[in-house]
Amino acid sequence: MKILFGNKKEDLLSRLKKQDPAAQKIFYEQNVKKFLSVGKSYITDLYQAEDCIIKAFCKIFKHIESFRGDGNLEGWARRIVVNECLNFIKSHKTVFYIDDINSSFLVEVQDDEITVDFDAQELLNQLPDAYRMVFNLYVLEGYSHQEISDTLQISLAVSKTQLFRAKEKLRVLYLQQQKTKRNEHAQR
Amino acid sequence: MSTHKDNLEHQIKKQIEEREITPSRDLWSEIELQKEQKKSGSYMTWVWAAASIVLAFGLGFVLFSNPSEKGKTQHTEIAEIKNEPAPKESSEKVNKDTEPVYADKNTDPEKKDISTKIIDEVQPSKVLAEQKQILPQKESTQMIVPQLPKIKTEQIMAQVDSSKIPAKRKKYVDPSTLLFSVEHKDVIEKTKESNVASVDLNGK
Repeated sequence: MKILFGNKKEDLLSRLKKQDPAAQKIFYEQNVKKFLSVGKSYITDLYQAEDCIIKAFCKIFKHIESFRGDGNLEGWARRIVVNECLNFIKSHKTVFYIDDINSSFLVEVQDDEITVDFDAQELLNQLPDAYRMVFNLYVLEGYSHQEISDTLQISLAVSKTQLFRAKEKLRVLYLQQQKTKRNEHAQR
Repeated sequence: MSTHKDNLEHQIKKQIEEREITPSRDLWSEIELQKEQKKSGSYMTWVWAAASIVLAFGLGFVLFSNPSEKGKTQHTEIAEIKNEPAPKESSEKVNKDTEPVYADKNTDPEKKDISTKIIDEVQPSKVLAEQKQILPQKESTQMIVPQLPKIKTEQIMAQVDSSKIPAKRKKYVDPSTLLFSVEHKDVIEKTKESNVASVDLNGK
């Protein structure tokens, strides 16, 4: 099965490199929902996230020749989606990176019990753009602070403080969300 | 105590990784539309590039070919002008009207004759005789000078062109003329007031 799957992937890549519309359609069908989920984690508005996904797919198909084939095609395409979302935020919004925290205070606080029943997207939506970008790149994409500072053109210290503040904010938001849920449950 | 797997970030990551969002509209048709636009855009850029190259060559051909043709026609016109008046006017008027011009430019062969004649006449004679002989020479020059304003510049130009006489003056002075001018300095100075051509004859 692995060999068959691998061959199919190779075939799809070679067909994509030949700009085969049928292969492009297959690749789109396979990944659009996943990529839209990724885009939605950066851009709160669904319509704008969809616009970014359209642009990202066009770039993927256009620059498929630059994909060496040594890595994961989906991973490579996902990076294009993320970059497209970041470019959208940079070009459409003014992002403020506040760097006023002493690094000695950057001590992680362990969460108490985290219930699975919470809306992660709602928490992310309430984060400021700067916090959300750094948090997503670090937690969801697995970027290092150096990669984040290169990508967002900020210093390492700013990247670290943004992540710390994002986590802090998320914890507060989570607690608020749980509180409202409990209240709603009590009212019923 | 919560483990690493249970913390908030991990739970957020898990939720985002596991979810899939169905597009609210047909994104594929929009992707195809954008691809077609890019293709047509690239096609149009090629068309524009080709058109601009053709235009550039066309303009270049027009700009570089026309002036050369005009140049040719101008040359022929000049040649016609040269040919037409040259044999008629130059042959007649050079002898009559343009004598002062040649005398002025030290190019007339007759001028040399005049100077040599004068020198021939001057050398054997005495001072008084010299003065008498200079006067006729002065008269002859005076006869030439009044004719100067009568000559039209066009005629001069035509004659100069047609006869192909070099316009530049000779830089050197004829030794016999120089001797004559030194010997008759006082007489020449007297004639300065009447714009006599003999001043030019001596040269500078």
